[in-house]
Amino acid sequence: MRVTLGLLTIVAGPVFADPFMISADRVLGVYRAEEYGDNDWNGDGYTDLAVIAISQSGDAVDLYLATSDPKTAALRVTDVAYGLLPYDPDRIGQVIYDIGPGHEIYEPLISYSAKDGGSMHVSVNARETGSGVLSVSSYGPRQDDGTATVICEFTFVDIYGLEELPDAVVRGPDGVETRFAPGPEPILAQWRYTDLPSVCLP
Amino acid sequence: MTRRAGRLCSAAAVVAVFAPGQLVADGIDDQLTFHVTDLVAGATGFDWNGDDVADRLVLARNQAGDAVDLFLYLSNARGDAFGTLDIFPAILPAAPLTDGSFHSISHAIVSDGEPLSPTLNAYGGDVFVAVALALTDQGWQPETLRSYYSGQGTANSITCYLDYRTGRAQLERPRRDAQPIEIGPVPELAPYWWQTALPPQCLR
Repeated sequence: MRVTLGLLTIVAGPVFADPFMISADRVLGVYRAEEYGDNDWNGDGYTDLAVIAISQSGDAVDLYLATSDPKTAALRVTDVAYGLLPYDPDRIGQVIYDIGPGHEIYEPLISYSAKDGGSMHVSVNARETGSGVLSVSSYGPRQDDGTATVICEFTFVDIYGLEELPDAVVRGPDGVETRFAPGPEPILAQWRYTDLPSVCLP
Repeated sequence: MTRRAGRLCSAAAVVAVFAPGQLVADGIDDQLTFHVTDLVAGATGFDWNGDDVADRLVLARNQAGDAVDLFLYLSNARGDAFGTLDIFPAILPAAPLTDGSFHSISHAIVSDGEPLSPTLNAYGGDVFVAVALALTDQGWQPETLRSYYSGQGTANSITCYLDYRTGRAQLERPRRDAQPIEIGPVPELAPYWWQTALPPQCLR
């Protein structure tokens, strides 16, 4: 009996493995502390949680969003977005990843910044169900005059009510600027950084 | 005692068998796992071992829920991978989530040319505890320890500050002179170390 149960445990283990278990060496950033602002996406008075981590494949950065239970404050994962940013293990030390508050409503802002001046930022519209992408920006390495070789800025949601957004601007290394409508707010769980135009990719 | 961490073990189970600050891993392939929702704070982009490569720090709530564990990755000398991992179980207190418990990591520049000093902050209920760490030849040690207790209201709050660099410590109450308190040798960052490092009157 004991042997059978042991075998069942071994067999069943991977089947019922919690998808939200994460290894310490994959964690790149945690955004939770109240001191950053009111990161309470479901408005229940308890802080919610955003975590960025190296993907299982090791070539991208994933985002986990968790919101609190209004009664117990216990956190429950509501969204996982795979591949929000690229990750290149050969560039450790050259690239810094971060997550923190973005804009005035303190939604999670995931970013990397490279020593050559290149950077990428994804601002998330965190909701209890069905989060979206607010904006994405990507900048190529900095030139001698301080300007970026490539500028890509996509604003999907007009959170400030400026009535001139959404907007998308792409300026390639040739200096040619293209402006166009970026389309509707992407569904967070379905969007990857590789969805950007190829000129915007690092 | 240097050991490699077992794969797919829970962090809480692993750290329970280690003394504080034990070196348990020597590469990024080592696996210590915990649930995403147990993570409370993280920091990257700061260079604590002075090799000009960013190191990483993670705080996670322990299984008992009364403290947080620290996982600290230092870059290796080549700068192309993360190297050693130090684990400090129960390095700071945690309060129940419904008491507004949360943690943060801040950084102070020790002096020009020296690595930044990470400061771990714990808030919860009516107690705040913060420890500034320093990487020394003997490993990670507390540099300063602060506490703030407001259980009987701000008018009766108690603030304690211990500075292991100078050997000075004091307790402060509103409308009273600061009271010197005894400070021992630099304590080891053992589990729940702050409970003995801080005088009882600082945490009541």
